[in-house]
Amino acid sequence: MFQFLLFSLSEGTLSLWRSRMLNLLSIGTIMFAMFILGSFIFVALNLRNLTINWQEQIQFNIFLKDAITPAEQQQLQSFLNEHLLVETAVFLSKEDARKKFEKDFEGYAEASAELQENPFPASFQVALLKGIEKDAFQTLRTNLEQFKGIDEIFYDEEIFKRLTFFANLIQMAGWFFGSIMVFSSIFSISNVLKLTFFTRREEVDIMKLVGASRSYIRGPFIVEGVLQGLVGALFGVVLVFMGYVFLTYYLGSSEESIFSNLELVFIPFTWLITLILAGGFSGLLGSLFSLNQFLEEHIRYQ
Amino acid sequence: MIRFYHVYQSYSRDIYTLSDISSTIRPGEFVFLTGASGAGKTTLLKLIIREEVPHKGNLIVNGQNVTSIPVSKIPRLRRSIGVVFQDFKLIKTKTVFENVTFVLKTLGIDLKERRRRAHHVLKQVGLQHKTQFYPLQLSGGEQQRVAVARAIVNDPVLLLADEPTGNLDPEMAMEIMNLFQKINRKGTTVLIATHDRQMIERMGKRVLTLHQGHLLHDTSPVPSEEL
Repeated sequence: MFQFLLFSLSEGTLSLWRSRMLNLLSIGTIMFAMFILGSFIFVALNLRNLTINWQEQIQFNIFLKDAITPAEQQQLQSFLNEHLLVETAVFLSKEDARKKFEKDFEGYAEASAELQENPFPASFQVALLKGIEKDAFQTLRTNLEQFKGIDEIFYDEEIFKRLTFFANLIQMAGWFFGSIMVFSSIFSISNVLKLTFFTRREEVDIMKLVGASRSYIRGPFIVEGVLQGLVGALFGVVLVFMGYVFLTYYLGSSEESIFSNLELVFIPFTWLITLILAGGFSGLLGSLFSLNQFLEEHIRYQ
Repeated sequence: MIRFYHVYQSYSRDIYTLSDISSTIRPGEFVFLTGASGAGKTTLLKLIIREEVPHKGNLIVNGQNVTSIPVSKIPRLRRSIGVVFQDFKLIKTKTVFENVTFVLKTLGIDLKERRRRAHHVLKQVGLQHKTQFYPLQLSGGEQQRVAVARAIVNDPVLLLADEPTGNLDPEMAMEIMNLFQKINRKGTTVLIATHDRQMIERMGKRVLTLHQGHLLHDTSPVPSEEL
């Protein structure tokens, strides 16, 4: 068995090298497939992390009525400052809100300046301690609603739902496109092996004539397919890694981005190994498919 | 070693390439198979290695009926027979060393032993200095000698050769024949298909003559002319 594996490995590797130009096609296809699959997994993973990161600390805005009295505002400020669940409560005056808008949306800055009356309400931007559950927030919200001068308590829960949905969608799209690509790579590997076989048909005939057993003829073809898959997937994963390095550098240097505080994580090692093995498995399927569908009649002894 | 019982072979209806061949080649014999082109010499050799299946009759090779041998046993049968093909059948993408030792490799024989055996047989055919050459870098005669080396490297019980001296000059042809004779003396049965009448007469061995698929003569050896 060991001798057979050694034989198949040496012959398969040799053949992979000898028909390297032809094999580039299938290696390229599987590389692309794994790059697509890996990229989607990477993006989905980081979006999910972003959602978790954001959800870890509940942040909300308390918009104040224009008619709020200084005493009411002070009372609210004291409540927030003394509340055990509140980490920070920053007051944003009407004027600050306007400035913030002009800074965040430069394109509309002129329009804002033209307004005679400042339409932006004053608010408190409240961040709860990390890890505070939503139930506790609801209780706090009910308590806050007793205060006079509050116009609206705004907690955008929808954004998390949308982000989670988006992350799931991206992951599903990744599986969908990735699967299509994997299938096409299996097809491509199978066809490339078929071509390789026809260029080596005479060699196979000679192998049969001098008494090489069927498994010794099949072995190198199977190894060649598996190697194509493994090498292609490895290159695909390397490409995803290069993308990760680029994004880390790019996002790190752009402070304006909403992702500037996000630390990108790369696909976990076990997943990477799974991706590479999946490439090898696709290669195995491709070679078995071509052997069973097209080559068996040539390899089979009469 | 080889027994033919009313063997027929045909590729189309009513036209027989071989017709009613019955003969016995005993272990250790050295036999020439001769006849004009198209007489059926190559077909007969193909039947022995089970490259073809006879249309009718039975053929026993080394105790196995190759007309009914299970497919799984064909590789083993072929590995026990050394064959020098008329068109050499060397793998172009493999070196002389790789071609000669290919069967040994499939048998799991280690590199050191493969090298030792390859050197031994390539020395016998005078090509020990060309182990790393590819077949297309060799002349026709050299390719033929590589084919001979491959056929004998595994110490076969039976050696078949189809026109093994066709591309060789008389001197080298004689050397190859002497080599076959040496192998034969060690106990290997040798069957050589050739139409080289001079060589056959010089060797003085048993001769089976085919004519249009029929076994025309089976002449006994002439001991006095043996080399």
